[in-house]
Amino acid sequence: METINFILNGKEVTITVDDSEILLHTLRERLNIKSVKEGCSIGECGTCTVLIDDEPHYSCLTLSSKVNGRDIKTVEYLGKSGKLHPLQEAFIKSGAVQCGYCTPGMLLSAYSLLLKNRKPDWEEIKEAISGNLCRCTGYHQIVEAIKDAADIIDTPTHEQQKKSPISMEKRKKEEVFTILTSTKEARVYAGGTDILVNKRKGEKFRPFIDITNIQEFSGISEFNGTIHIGATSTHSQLTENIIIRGKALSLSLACKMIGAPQIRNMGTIGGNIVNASPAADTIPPLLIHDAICILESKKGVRREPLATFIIAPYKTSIREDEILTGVDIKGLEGYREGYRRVTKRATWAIARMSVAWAIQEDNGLFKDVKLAIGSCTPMPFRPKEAETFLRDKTKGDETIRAAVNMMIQEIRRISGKRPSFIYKVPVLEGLLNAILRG
Amino acid sequence: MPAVKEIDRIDALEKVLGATLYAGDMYIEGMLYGVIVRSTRPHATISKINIKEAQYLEGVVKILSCNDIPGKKEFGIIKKDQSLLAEKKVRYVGEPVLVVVAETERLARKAAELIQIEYDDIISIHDPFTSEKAPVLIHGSGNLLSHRTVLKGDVQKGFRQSDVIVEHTYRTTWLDHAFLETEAGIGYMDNTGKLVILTSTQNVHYKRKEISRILGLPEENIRVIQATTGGGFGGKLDMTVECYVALAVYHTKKPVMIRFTREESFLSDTKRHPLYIEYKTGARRDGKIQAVEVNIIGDTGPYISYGETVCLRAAIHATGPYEVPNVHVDSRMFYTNNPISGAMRGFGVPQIAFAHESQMDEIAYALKLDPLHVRMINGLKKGSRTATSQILEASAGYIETLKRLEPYWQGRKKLKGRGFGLGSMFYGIGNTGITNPSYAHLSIAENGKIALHTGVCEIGQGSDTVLLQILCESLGVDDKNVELIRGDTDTSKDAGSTSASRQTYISGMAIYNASIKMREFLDKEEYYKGRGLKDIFLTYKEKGVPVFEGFFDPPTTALDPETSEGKPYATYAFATHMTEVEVDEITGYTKVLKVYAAHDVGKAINVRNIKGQVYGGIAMGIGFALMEEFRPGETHSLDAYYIPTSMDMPDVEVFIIEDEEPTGPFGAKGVGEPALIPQAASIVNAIKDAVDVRPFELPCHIERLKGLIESKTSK
Ligand SMILES: Cc1cc2nc3c(=O)[nH]c(=O)nc-3n(C[C@H](O)[C@H](O)[C@H](O)COP(=O)(O)OP(=O)(O)OC[C@H]3O[C@@H](n4cnc5c(N)ncnc54)[C@H](O)[C@@H]3O)c2cc1C
Ligand code: FES
Ligand code: FES
Repeated sequence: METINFILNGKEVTITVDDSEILLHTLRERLNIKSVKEGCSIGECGTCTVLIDDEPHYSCLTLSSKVNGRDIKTVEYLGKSGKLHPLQEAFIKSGAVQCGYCTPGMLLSAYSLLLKNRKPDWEEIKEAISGNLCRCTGYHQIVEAIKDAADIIDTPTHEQQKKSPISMEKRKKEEVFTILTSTKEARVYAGGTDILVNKRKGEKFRPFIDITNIQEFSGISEFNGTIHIGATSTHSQLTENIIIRGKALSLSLACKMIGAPQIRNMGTIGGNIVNASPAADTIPPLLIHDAICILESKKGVRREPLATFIIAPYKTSIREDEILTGVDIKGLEGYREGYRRVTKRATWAIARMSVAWAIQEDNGLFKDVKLAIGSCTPMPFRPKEAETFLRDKTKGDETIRAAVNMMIQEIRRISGKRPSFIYKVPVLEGLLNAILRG
Repeated sequence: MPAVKEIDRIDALEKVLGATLYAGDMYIEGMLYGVIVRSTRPHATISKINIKEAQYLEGVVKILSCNDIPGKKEFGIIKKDQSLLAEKKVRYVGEPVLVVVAETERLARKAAELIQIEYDDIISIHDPFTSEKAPVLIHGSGNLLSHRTVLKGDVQKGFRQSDVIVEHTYRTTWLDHAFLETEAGIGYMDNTGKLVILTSTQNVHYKRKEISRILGLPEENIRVIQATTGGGFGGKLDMTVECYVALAVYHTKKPVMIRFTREESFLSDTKRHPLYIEYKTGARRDGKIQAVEVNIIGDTGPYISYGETVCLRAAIHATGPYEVPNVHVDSRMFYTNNPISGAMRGFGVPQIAFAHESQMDEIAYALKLDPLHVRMINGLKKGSRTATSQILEASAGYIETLKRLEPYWQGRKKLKGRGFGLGSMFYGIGNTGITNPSYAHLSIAENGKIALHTGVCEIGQGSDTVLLQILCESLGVDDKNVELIRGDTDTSKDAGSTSASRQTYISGMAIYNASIKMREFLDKEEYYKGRGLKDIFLTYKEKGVPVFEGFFDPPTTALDPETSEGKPYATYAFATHMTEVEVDEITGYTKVLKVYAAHDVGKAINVRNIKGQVYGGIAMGIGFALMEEFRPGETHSLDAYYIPTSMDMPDVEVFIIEDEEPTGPFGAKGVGEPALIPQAASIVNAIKDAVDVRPFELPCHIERLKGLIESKTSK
């Protein structure tokens, strides 16, 4: 039990919540905000969307305790003044509402977009609502409505409430290490986008320790060519960050493709690494940047390369008393860098396979080739043999074919025969070919 | 006919405010929650049920079994073949066995988990092909549910006259409606002792009948009200929660809510029928189709639901919107122990359209003719004779849909990796060859407004708005002067289900017919000369305000049991979609770039609503063509069932064609299902155009398409 304080649609709320209580439940069942819907409870529909500090989040994957001190908006906020918000008016006029079940969440995603981007184009709008499913409308009239609303909102950027009026003490990291050492079953909780899905799927609940409000675990900085990424950096932050975009482009691109906007606002790089899914999108880019994991506990700090940190699918060498505080990566300059993944749906889908690359070429020669492949082996991996082979080789069909073959052989060696290879091997051949060719 | 004045959707305001309450949002002081305990076996007899642990859990109020059903124990929308709660046998994973009623939802779920059911497994059947000959009978009557034939002319002669014959087999799989609002309902006893159920549904009057049977209570003692419904698409036609809620209220005398989690929805929701379609087409050198022979095998699951309907509708629509002189269609539905398949937007026609449209393109390829031309010369038009030998008397705008798209088709520019495809369809509006009436009535309410009473359920498609528009136009009144009272068995007569794209046409006409009578009355009362409605009301208050009844039942005939000859539908909608796709040959990923959609709707009552249906239908068609696939035992939630996101949607242009239907309100037909039907077919044809491989199985997801591309290159 914990008493929390937050701003809900402009009003301060104080409420005592259970340790495992989900924000969706608190809003619907205890604060009677029924516009927030439950369509799946695993981050796959968007009907539970709320704005936390003006960014869309899935309330079904947010523990209530996490919103302590923050600003929450639901669709009720939009019509609060007794007058319809231009978005609401445009939704009515464009026929953007059919059954209406997705509508509150859609409006919130749209509202958040317009705070950041006053004149979004068609694609930017589609992107912004891509974490909100609608089964009725085919989205067309929704996008139209948002565009129309953007055209008539003429006031300068909406006053943004990034800082909520409730001031909050930042937590000290020492505090967390103490809890971790003393409470054996306690579990680190960052974005919650893996942990709360697992809980829904039947994993037993253990007390969560939220680490997202600890200063030392956040932030992105660069020193002497090494980029330090705090573990609680979200995928949205990594997508936008200037340093990452400049010197680790593949990571920025990968983060941009993860899940949906809401997932990117919630999910952290630390969570992605520690969860250690074979399909984790940040891992291949991190591997080509020779990421070093920084792990800290009461006993001290230890550094371990990401390549050895992950020991099996969903398994790392992290100890129960440790926290991943961040990763250090090497910035790359003068490389052609990218990330590609294959999915069944345009977005909001787990990667069937993925490749991150950073390639340095000079005058028709491969100077340095770094590749990392996801979802083809138990853990994403770097085909070191082929990378070495390519060093200083002339860029040509022959070389590329030989290198691709080496990589496929290496994958077969690691993974053995797998039914999925009927699909994956030819696709990977095609992708690697295209990537090396550039 | 004049254009009907368009208004904004009447339910939109409340919805954008977030103020609309859906069934699962409701709360009544002291209410209980029900959770259904379901079978974990596909085919078994129940040997033992142990509820001890659950029963004594603090807060558990009742655990109901089939022995607690006071009335009839079976239900079903077409035939009563499904046990409300399994008695001895279960026939699919997910079949309801018990209902736990508890003080909180969490408790009810916890109790449900504590219940142990032991089973003796029976051999289960998962393939309609083995079903036919299996020694195990799912029901006593054998494993063939239904066999329908459509016969016209002489197919053998037709094939002999043909210069080219194209023969292929097509397959589709289970799809889930995936409405964003899962099934939910709440029930209580009102102060007159009536049992009231508020539910997310497509048909209140059917639900009332079912509850009345199950509880053994007269219909007058039951009231079913439609709560705002978050999508239906056919999945809320069958009984979902209603009888369970009713049973729980009956026994506890307290308000009870049941709402499904997404996982429960996937487990219990009826699916789109997987169809296996062998299709043979013969055509002359000039592209004229001479004969079509089709063999359809369907998997309906263990209970009927709409299995017979889909069996017949698929057969009748098997030739597509073309006039074919010689036709032989066999359509069979088999029982299996797979999920129950039922009604889903189009009742089998989207599946069959995938087949007939692929065939049309294959004929065009074989004869080196333009696919649009082949459609044009075979297309149904006024005076054509359909496969059931019905003469189309009016409102047959198929050719017009082609003509509207022709400039885009002729002007298409094929870029590398891209392709264009056409898909056409026709769709009979309303139920097949049976009476399917709708009633409405009008009066003047005390507040001086015209009261429109209809049993129609609005499920998001916009019927409330359209029906109101029809009334306003025909009465010559403003929508502000009308009060819509709908979706409530106490205040309206049966309007039939919101399905088969029938509500604008049928209920719209019922309202239109009522309004003609009322108009006469209002005229006599000098309303049109400026007299107020309130004033008229007061004049009649004492002796009773007259009620004006409207009724419409589309003129259809029963079909011949052997040949299906007859008039199954009074009118048909027609449509053609033209789609451009881009295929990534490396990954097998198909991106839909652009859709041009032309629809003959008879008359557009509300253009925004029509477009909304078309956009939504296209999205669903993209899902059907490229990604949606329910796998029994593997698909539990939306993480394993992808439906299109905003990023999967192409740019769309909609063309509305108005070939007026004389029996429809202002000439209107329907568009709800037609919007979806041709989309998957047009994508498949565009894929063929792009990469020269033809998908014969849907969904054509990345793996499947890559496989086709690989086998092409290795040849
Ligand atoms: C709808 C949906 C879509 C998704 N799509 C993608 C996708 O496209 N690509 C992808 O890669 N992932 C995807 N994910 C998975 C998930 O969002 C990411 O893995 C995310 O980065 C996890 O971060 P988190 O902060 O939410 O982790 P949490 O759920 O908070 O934690 C995950 C695990 O890591 C541990 N942990 C977290 N942080 C630390 C730390 N600093 N130190 C020690 N242990 C820690 C937790 O104890 C837990 O075991 C998706 C998830 C959902 C629900
Ligand atoms: S309820 Fe579906 S995303 Fe939260
Ligand atoms: S309007 Fe029904 S889900 Fe969007």
